[in-house]
Amino acid sequence: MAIRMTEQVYLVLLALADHPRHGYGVVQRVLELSDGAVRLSAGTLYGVLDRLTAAGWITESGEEVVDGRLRRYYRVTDDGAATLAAETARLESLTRRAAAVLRPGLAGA
Amino acid sequence: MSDDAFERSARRWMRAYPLWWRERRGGELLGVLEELADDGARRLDLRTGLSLVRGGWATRVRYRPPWHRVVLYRLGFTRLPAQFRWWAAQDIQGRFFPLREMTPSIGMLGVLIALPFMWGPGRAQFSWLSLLGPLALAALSFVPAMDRRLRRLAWERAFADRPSLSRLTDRPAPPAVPERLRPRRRSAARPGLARAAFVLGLGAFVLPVAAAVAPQRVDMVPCAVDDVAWCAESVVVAREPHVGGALVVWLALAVLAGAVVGARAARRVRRASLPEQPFRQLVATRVPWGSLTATGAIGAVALGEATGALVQLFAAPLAGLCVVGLGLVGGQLYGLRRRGDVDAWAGIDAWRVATSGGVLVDPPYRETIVSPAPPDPSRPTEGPVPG
Repeated sequence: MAIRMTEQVYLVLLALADHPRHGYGVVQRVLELSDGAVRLSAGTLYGVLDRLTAAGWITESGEEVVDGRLRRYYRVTDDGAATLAAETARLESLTRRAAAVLRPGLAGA
Repeated sequence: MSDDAFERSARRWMRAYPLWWRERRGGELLGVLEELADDGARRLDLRTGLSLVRGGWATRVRYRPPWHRVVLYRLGFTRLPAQFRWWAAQDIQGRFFPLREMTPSIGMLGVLIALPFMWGPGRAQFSWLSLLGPLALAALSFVPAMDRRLRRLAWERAFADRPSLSRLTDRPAPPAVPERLRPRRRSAARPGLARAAFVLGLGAFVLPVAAAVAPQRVDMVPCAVDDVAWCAESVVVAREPHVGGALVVWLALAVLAGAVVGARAARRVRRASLPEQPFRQLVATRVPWGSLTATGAIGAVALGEATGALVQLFAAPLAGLCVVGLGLVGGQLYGLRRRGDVDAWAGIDAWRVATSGGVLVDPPYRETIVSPAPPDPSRPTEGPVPG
């Protein structure tokens, strides 16, 4: 299944990159990674998780019950990790080019 | 946080998601919603609720088969591919399936009926009575026997290797989630039947009167086109000074039919054996919206057609239906009264016994546990997350 790499998709993949997280954990981690700019709603989160699972970029990793609440954990697959690395490299490259474009202006400021 | 009130609120919003999705991820989503909500929240906030509606409908669209496959499947030409089996299974088991299944037939009949109005030689004037055919076909899909037959045939067509309608054995095994069994809530028979008897009795009394005194009515006459024999059109005619003979005959036939179905219903109910229902809870309806709506509709039709505000069209047919329905409901009430165990009957039991002879034994309703429960050693608990 083709999936478009939006900012939300990228941030969810990034949130799951270091270790498995459950839904609420992903929301908190995305908030942290985006410096408070992206607050995922439950509907958006599960839409992204569904699409990432269908694309094979993340997979279910286990579940537990905490305070009577079911938590299902997700982790990034090898495909997901490769996609995340490629997207991060693309963003890095873009950032370098953007910085080069802005440098003369910044220097003059 | 008031868990019960919040859970009810959240589950209402979560209905936007397809049933299979909720069965698989409902408990998990509910847990996230509870963690995201403010302490003490009694209901889901509107913004989160709307995000669930948007996400739920997006999920429905994402997992729905392409429309051309649905059309071919609906017409019975093809099976759906394996990845859409969940969709097909829940479609067949869902509410109003017979109506969905018969939509192509109803549509084709509608087109056939509409053709003479659009392109026929000497085009006929459109008559609302021409809609009776498709409407009758649609109504037929609500007959319990037809409902069961259509579902069984569709199931065999979709899953020829799995003919049992009661099991969805081909869905992937869901992960182990904590569940509890909850009884299915059913409306008690007596208050529902009493209300139905009142509404139908009201209709059987006021509608014939309205039909008799209505100042104008709809009639069918041949078209004013010489060379077309089959054409008919509806016209409005003034009331005859006497009560129409057709109305009397129609009501007499309805009384006869009501007596027959009532006697049969009473006999069936009296003789039926009521099985144990360990997973059922009988409840009284809080607000009888159906009865109130039906009473209002009957009152509006009777008043409108009796005063001439509406042309007499529905009062006479509805009067006959009310008389037959009163016989059916009266037969059920009489049969239950003779048995003496009316308080053990659900409305659905009385209806099914009276119309098809069988009682539905409710299976347990499986509910994912999201509120605190005693520890179960066979279930995952707090601790390290499996990798």
